[in-house]
Amino acid sequence: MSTPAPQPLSGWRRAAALVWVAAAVLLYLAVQHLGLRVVP
Amino acid sequence: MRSPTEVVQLVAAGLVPSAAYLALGLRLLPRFGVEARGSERLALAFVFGSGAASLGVLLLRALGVPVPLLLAGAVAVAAVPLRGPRRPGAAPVAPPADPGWVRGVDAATLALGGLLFLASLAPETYWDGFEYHIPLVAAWTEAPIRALPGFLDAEFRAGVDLLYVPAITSGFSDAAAAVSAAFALTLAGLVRAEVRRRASPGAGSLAGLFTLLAPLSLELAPSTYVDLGVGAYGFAALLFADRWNRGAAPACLTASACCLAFAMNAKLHGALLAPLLLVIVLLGGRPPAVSRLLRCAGLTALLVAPWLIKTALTTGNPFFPLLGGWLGTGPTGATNLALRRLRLLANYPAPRNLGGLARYLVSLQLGSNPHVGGLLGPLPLALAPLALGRLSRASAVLVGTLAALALGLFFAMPAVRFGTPIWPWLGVAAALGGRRLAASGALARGVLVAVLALALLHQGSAAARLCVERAAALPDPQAYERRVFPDQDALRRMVARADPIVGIPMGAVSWMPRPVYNLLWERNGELYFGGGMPEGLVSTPPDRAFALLRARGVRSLVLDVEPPHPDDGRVGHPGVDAWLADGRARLAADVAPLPARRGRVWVLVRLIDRPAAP
Repeated sequence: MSTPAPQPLSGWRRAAALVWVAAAVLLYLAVQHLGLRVVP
Repeated sequence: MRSPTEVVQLVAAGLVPSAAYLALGLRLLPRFGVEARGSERLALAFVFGSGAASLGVLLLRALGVPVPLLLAGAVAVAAVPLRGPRRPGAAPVAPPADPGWVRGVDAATLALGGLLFLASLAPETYWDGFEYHIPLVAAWTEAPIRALPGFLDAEFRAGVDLLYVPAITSGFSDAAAAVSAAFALTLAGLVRAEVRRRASPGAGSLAGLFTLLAPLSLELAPSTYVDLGVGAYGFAALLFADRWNRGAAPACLTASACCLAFAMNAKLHGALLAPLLLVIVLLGGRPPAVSRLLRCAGLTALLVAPWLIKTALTTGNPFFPLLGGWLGTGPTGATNLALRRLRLLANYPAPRNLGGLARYLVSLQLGSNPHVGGLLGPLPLALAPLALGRLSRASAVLVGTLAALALGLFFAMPAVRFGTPIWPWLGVAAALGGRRLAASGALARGVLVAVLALALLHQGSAAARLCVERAAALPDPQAYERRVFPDQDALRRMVARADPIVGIPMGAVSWMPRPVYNLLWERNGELYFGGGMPEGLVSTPPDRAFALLRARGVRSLVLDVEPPHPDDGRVGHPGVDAWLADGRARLAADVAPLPARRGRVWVLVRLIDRPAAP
């Protein structure tokens, strides 16, 4: 099976991606476990 | 308590029907000429086999032919191909073995699938499941498929519901939901295969595991909700259309048309996929010949025709509840149907504008609304945006149409479970985004591993809790029911002492030991009795309501009222109080009230055929 190689992220795009991913998952867990209320 | 033999019978009642649908699909799949191997072949076989079997059950039950478990077992044995598909002259080429950790992830997915299967055998405690999915199939199992007055859901599509017939015929209605667990595993298999094709085996296996671990999957797999089935059919239809755009054989269009029909047979809103699929294949860069499109449309029409005929016979309108203004709505009032549409919107009460849409999107990840918040799990919305880049024409059209459907759902039916055909694509995109992150350096790879581990811990523990709790309920299902819904257990005990047919204000219909009439307007489609009614809606006048209930054979009511026991002759319900006052109803003083929800108590009211006092 041949699949196209992914285009790596670099520079500010990589930094933004890391912040986005970490924030999205940690906030999700905070909502689920700590009762954090972001939106209804 | 169930004996060990009965537990074994329960497991068989869950396993045999799904095995039969799978075996049938393995027979059918080669006829479509669709390329698939390994777990994808099994997943597609279940899609085609279950869709075809459902039509078979519809025909058999319409004619009153029983569909027992033995028949399903016979189909499984007769249909299972003893040898895999072989092409003459072509030597089988073994794919390269996956790395050990990938095989470990696959093993975990299979183990979780097995646990979800066991969890699905516990009693139905999901609201729509015990309120109408199981009762509907039970009614169509006891007697041929027919109109069921006072049971509006019998007039909608029930393609997935009919797959529960063998289990319910066997007397083990708890085994019905095993089909949902099979659909969850099917969706995981389809996502896994698509990601392997687009990214890598490791990404595919992880995507499959997290598809099964998604809170939405965990919620739906142990229940008789049909949304995972709609999702499998709809996702497969979209997959095949996209494959056509990317150069696959014309068989993909036929397969897509077939899956579209199965989705439409499973739930009315499956029809929304029809225009989207048309857009995908017309604009995706490889428009098919009109004659081919017409043949596909003809195949879809042929496969949905049985349900159109059924609905025409029971409501007078083959497209019920659509086109009600022209073709009529049968015994159901147009107001009731309009209110049901509004009721769907109430699942996510937000203004339908840009601000509301933004809130909805955030809610998918960070909300607490039970129909929307967090049901996709933490990963799809975290990782999917990373997959965005320069898209091919086919992918751009696919993304655009999926976004249009998601927007349509927000405006019309915002509960996440209605979007099951499109959410697996988010899983595919998340896997692609994850792979891109993994290729972006050691730090990015470390962050990816950390968030995957956190998500696995969170979702895995939720899955373990669910499976252990429900699997432990198999030997003593009633104890589990009592623990989960004590008020419904009390309702069951009240109904056991009432004269059938018993009117109940919504509830676990399938738990009830005697025939019941659901007093909730959404379910009966004809009576506005108060309780759960939209604001401003006027109850059916007492005289008309009484006549309607008597026409349906209702002889008693179990109602939840404010304590203390209303021995002053009133129950606080205007209509019933009017009957109590004029002697058409009597409060059963010999039946002690039992606790209902929110501090209320169940009381029994007997209806008496006596003309109202002048």
